[in-house]
Amino acid sequence: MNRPDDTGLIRNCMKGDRKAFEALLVRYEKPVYNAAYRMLNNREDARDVTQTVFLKAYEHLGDFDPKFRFFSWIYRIALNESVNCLNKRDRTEELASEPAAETGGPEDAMEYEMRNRQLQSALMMIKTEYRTVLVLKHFLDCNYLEISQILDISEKKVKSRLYSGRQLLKDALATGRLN
Amino acid sequence: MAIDRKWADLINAEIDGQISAEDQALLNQHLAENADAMRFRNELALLCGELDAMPDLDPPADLRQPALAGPGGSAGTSRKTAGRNWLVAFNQFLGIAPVRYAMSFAAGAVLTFVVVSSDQISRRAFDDVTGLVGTMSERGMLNDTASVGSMGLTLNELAGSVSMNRSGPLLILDFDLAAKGPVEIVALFDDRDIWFNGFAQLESTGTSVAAQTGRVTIRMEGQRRYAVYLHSTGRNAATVKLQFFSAGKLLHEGELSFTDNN
Repeated sequence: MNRPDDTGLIRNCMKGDRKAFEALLVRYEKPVYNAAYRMLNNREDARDVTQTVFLKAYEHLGDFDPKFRFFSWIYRIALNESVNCLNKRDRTEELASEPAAETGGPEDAMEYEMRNRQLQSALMMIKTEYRTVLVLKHFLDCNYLEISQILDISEKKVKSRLYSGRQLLKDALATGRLN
Repeated sequence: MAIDRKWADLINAEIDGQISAEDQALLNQHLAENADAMRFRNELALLCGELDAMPDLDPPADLRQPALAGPGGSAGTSRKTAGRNWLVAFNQFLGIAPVRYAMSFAAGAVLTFVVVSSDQISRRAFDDVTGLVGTMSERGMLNDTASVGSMGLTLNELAGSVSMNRSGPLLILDFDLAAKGPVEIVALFDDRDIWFNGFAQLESTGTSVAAQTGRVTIRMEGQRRYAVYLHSTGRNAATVKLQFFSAGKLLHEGELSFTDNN
């Protein structure tokens, strides 16, 4: 995830090399877009957020501290922008839920698709602070230390939010209960 | 099934591969003696495995354009206007908001835009766009589109989301659903100043729609994404009731609404 040549690309980018910025965009657009989608559950909003993230990243590249990893920095921007987008919505999410049928696991493509959508809908029912940690762990493959750096919280707090988030997600899927 | 916090923490750490050998030995012993803890571990491991296995979505094809047009692009180009030049004439030609939204509905994909069985379609809406096919543009062409509400569904027969967006006089219901079998979705709106204005579906033709005064009925099966357009001139508040049926049985009923406060 943390490519060794990010630093070189950033250096070239700051010298005005557009191709270097394009290379960073190509490298990180998919994880950033997916993180935004998992946070927002809306493809159009995820696209807007992703575009904003890269524009902000470019504009503030001078503020990037090379002793940190680029992915940590850009993921932090992505999550902050996603939260801003959620706050702008100023709305509540509703969930229609029922206990998942005990199928013993996905039996076919449709079953798999249904389950993915159930999981995504349930994710949206969890408070943003828990969802953020789940997205970093399960969709961006970050470990506890990386999550703590991205969110600027202690590892202990990362664990607490991750474990609680999983339990809340499990409860939401099992009973439809909202937190 | 109440699991002591200590064991729950160790189980989570084990699933994440961040447990010490000493704690692993302790946990193994506890799991061997406690069926509830073992069940909790298995359920949590399954959930985490499902989350890890959820597929990555491909970003829309036009995502890079505004981002690249900003940095190092022409001076004063904003992300809202970047890449839109060729669209201006096209947009003027279209002049139909639902079509514009349909164009922006999904990047790089072909959309089929259909209207069927509408008894309202002549009312300040277009007459007939059956078979009209467009390709995407970008969302920037609808500068005022705003999400105003959404509904998640995790039913056994139907899962996914429905969101409501506003764009000028349009209310756009965006359905992103998967259904195991045939389902019928009814959108009800009492307000006489709201009427059906169009329908667009993405990458498929498996959805049918019928519109009557105050009601739009959609039938679908499988994995579908589509949008229903309602016209709501001059309204500063509206509510759409959604009912989801399978084999005549009401699965769920809910509402999406907006006021000028959101």
